[in-house]
Amino acid sequence: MQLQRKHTDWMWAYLFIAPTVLGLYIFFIYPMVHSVFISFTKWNHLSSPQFIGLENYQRLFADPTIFLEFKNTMFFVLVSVPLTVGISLFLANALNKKHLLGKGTFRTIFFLPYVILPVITAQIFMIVFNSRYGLINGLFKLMNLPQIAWFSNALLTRFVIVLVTLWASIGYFTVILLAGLQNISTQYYEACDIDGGSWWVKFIHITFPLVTPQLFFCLVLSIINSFKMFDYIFVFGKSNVIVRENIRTMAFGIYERGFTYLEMGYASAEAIIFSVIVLTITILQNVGQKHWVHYS
Amino acid sequence: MKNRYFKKGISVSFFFLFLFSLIALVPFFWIVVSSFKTYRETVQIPVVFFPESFTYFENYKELFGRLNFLSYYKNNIINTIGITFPQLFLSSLAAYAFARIKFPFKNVIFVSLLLALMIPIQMILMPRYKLILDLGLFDSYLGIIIPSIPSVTTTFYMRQQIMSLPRSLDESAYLDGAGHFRIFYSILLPLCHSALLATGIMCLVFSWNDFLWPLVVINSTEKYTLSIAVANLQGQHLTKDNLLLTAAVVVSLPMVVVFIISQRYFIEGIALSGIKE
Repeated sequence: MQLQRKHTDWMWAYLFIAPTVLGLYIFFIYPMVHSVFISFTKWNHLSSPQFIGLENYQRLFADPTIFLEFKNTMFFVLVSVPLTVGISLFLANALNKKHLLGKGTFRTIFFLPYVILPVITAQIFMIVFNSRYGLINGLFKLMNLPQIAWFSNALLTRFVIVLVTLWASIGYFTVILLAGLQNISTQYYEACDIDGGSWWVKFIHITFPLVTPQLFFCLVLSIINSFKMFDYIFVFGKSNVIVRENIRTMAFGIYERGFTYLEMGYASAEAIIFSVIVLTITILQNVGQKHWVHYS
Repeated sequence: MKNRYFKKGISVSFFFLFLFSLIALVPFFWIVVSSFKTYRETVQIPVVFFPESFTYFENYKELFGRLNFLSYYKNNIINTIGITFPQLFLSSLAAYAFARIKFPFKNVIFVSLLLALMIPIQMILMPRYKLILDLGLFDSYLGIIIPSIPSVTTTFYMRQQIMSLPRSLDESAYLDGAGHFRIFYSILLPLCHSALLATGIMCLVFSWNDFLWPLVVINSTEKYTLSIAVANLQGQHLTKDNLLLTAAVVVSLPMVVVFIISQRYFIEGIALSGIKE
């Protein structure tokens, strides 16, 4: 039955969407446009912004610190994303058994780290990996392994941060992937059993293609999360300057330039470049998904 | 034969699951144990795994006493509640309009919201900070709360939920003379309760854990959120690690409890967010 609605309907609709839509325009979309403007100015947020054209961008491309931040950002994305998604898929696959003992408990345990404040997670790991009295070196000593000064070199420090991100986020992605796996009809596997397919054949020809929508979702999300990672870098960097210089990422650099050094214009220029990178990757992923993601 | 093979597959899985559970749990074990250690026990070499007594409450006393953590708790609760409930209500309201009412520019507006979804927070940090200054909201709870209320994800998710409800529900109510707000509030919203719980809990965790935005907005110590308070603890008096680990217990506990009580909705909500794509 098609109802004859009143023509005042659209007024109700505008009233209903107004708070959310205006809120998003005011606090997300307008600032986005405004940040392009700020990036062409010199502004320390006390005086009024002063237009300087492309100067910030010229400075940015010649700045070795920004290049380091870019490299570190890419390092975290390229190392943590495959590990996060890979391990999550592995765990989800292991959990996706009908008669597995303690399945719900495992899922709860894996997810638990996700609800911890990221600031806290970072601090726990810093203490656990402390080179003198940390738990890890303590355990290493028990097993007669060498003591490692985790924060003495850049690569090891970054490795610890990758571990932090893995620990905190794997449960979340496992839950998403597990839901996808549970959606796959058992008929496919039964048919494959009749044909005598091994677990590997099943994984490549049934599980993987049918879980690609969730896999894609996880990939997009974990890439964005890696780019935006701020809390861990902030906390680790606070411990000492050398560590901070070793691990600084663009997300951190933008904050530091804007709010510690009060170079709002310069920070905005970096933010624009950062966003262009993130958006380009997001778009590329969406274009690329047609080739490997199967929607039923 | 087949059966035995199958069982072996399960026990290998079990082994790995067990191993990863240990890794997930060890930091929790460590913070709880360490919260009862004296400073000397914390930094002792070789590492002591257990404190001498589990009745050493000085760390907790110091956190809630001198370090004033109870008031940071209060701040966090104000912000989290101030964000979560308005967000759920207003997003659902908008979701209802997008799902059920025809109005001009609907699709244009809806798609333009996608833009807000894709913006990394770093891009809008500086202008939004300026906006908050101009609105006179700097260093206030409202400065944290108001920009965090409008949410694209919650709106999209609730729209999905409302669209999945049969239209005959609103039509019969409409014939009985109910207006849009009534249809939304008394008929459809109650039917979305598990979706509301799922998104509500996600929103709760996000706002409870948020760090960057409160760090930008808040200036005075008494308005610190737990995240900022904990991050600042690190800088003070030579970083007493036993205190930091106690803070970890104190700050994590509420979210762990919320999660364990409500994990069904929690996990449902997250699982759905992956499937709806």
